[in-house]
Amino acid sequence: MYSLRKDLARRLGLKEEHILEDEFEREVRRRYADWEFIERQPPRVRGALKLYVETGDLRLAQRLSGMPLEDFYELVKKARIPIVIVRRGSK
Amino acid sequence: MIASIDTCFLIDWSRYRGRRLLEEIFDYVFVAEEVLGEVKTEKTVEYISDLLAKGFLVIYPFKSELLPLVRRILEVSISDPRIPVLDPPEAYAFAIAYREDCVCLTENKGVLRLVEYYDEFREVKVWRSLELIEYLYRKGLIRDLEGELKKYSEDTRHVFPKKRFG
Repeated sequence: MYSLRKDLARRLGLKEEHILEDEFEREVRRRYADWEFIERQPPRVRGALKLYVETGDLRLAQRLSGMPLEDFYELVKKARIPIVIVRRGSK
Repeated sequence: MIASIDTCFLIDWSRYRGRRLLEEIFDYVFVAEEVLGEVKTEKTVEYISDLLAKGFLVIYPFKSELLPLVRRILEVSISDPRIPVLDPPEAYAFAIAYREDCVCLTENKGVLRLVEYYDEFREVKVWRSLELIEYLYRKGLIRDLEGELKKYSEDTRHVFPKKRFG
């Protein structure tokens, strides 16, 4: 769902603040990622890391990578992709 | 206080220098068996086995009773495009929190959205590491909130933007 274009996201009833948060988080991931490291990875892993940068969807990207969850999560961190979620949990 | 916890939260806390603080807040923490199959590195396995051995981390003993709820959570996350798709380990962590009326420890955005979009799940208390560290601060278990968040970020690569929308 993360790669939804704005107009489609609105049609599907996603709150405006969530659309803005998704955009902001994507920008943060793009800005701080180590793109040289990402580009050096084998194609499947490279694609998965890029998917994570664009969507923040760890599970989806991990499945694409073909790697176990923890290994992929570690790789995300080696690629210096920040884990960023604007939305707060419960008080 | 009791909590349920998912895989990534455990992985992150196994790397955080303040990980012992988890035991200061909660009496015990439930974990779904599915989570154990997802951890691989020595650091995380050691952390989890230590917590299990202490009886602090507890494999949820009423798993079969959770199945209809887990199925419902997974169905919602698959069919509603507003919710990022959940995998069973997160769905179990959330279902345990719902059933036990305890805190769900997760960084999963799908879980955060479930609580916001679905009235039936609205009452479930979901904490990210940010809320947990803030709680530690309010309880006086840490003195410097900003400093602790900085340490957590350094250890786990989480960032906590102050920007808010809406």
